[in-house]
Amino acid sequence: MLRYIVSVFLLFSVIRGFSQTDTARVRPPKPPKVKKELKEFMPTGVRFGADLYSFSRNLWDESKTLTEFQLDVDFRHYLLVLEYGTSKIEEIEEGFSYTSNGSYIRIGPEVNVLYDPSSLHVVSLGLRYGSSTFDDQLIYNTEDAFGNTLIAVSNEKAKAQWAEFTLGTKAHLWKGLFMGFTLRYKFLKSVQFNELEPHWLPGFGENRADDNNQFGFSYYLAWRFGIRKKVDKSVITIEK
Amino acid sequence: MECPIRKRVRSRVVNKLAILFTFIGIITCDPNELCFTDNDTRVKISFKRIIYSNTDSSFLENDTLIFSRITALGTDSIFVESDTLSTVVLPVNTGVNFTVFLFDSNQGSDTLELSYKTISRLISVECGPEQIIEDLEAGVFTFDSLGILNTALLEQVITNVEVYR
Repeated sequence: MLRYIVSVFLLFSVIRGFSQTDTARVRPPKPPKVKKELKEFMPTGVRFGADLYSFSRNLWDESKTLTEFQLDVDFRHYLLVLEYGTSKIEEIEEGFSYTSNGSYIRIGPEVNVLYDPSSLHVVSLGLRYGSSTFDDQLIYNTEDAFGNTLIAVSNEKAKAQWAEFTLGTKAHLWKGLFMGFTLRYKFLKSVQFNELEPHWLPGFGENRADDNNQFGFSYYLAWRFGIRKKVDKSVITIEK
Repeated sequence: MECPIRKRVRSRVVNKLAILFTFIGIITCDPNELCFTDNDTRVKISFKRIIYSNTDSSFLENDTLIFSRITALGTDSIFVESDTLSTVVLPVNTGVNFTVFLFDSNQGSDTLELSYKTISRLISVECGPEQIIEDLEAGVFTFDSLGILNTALLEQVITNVEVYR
């Protein structure tokens, strides 16, 4: 009896094993949907540029020393943009002097509204988050009923934050060389300060009490470094 | 699938637009500088007489006082001399964060200490700096009672402090 039971058990095991192998053979391979979608978001290039407008401003406005650099990662329809800059202001006039020294970053996405796979030109709309840290100082004289008073007020490591809407272009001129501008509408300004309301916010510009918004302009000269795609044989086989 | 001619036209339009936008000159002009602001460094004090008062409401009328003089500690200036007034506008000392005013009137001699926060700012390079006085508070005083109606010193504010008798 025991021999009979063992034989039946072994027979079922073999049949079950065969049936599993058959199922595996006939099941079609899953389409590589995930990999295909991911491919769209793989970076195709990195552009590094300098803002000529900031650099040129030093020539015609001696009170301001500005630098700005831009790095963007190209994801076909989309770009991720990082900007870094420094700002040094020295306004010395009769009766007062104002100095400010700081740096800033801006980061945000852009969408290439005229994306064309056959062209590297970019016309983009974007958003930015901006943040700056700076020291500033104002020294001035007051003359009133209480006499002449020299007032010196300053901020150390003051912070400012804001948001931006951007409209920009990057025209492909030659090989990896690009030139383009970015127009900015800066809003949602927030400034932390003590007894001196900062006059200049690095990356934002003039801090007007009566206007929380500001327009900005950058003119970039950039070089694009293409990211060569790694050939993934498994993906190619499956796509066939 | 996109038609090759259409694709080529689209590509040309993209190229031309990109280059056109890139070489457009941006002409900007600075807005006219307005040096006038609403900030003030003078405090406006009104004198009131309480006619009727209970927990819900009070009725006040202007209290006209005959001042022989009004001065402040830290200055030789006399702000008011031999005048009959129910409201006075007095400068605060912006070099420090408080001012003590001395009132000599037909009601006797009184003092009033006001403290505040001073913020400096540059209106613009053309207009120069200005001071913003805010968070006005009453310190030591010898009047019967008083109230702070507006804590910011602004041109448009009619009364900052009301002194009651």
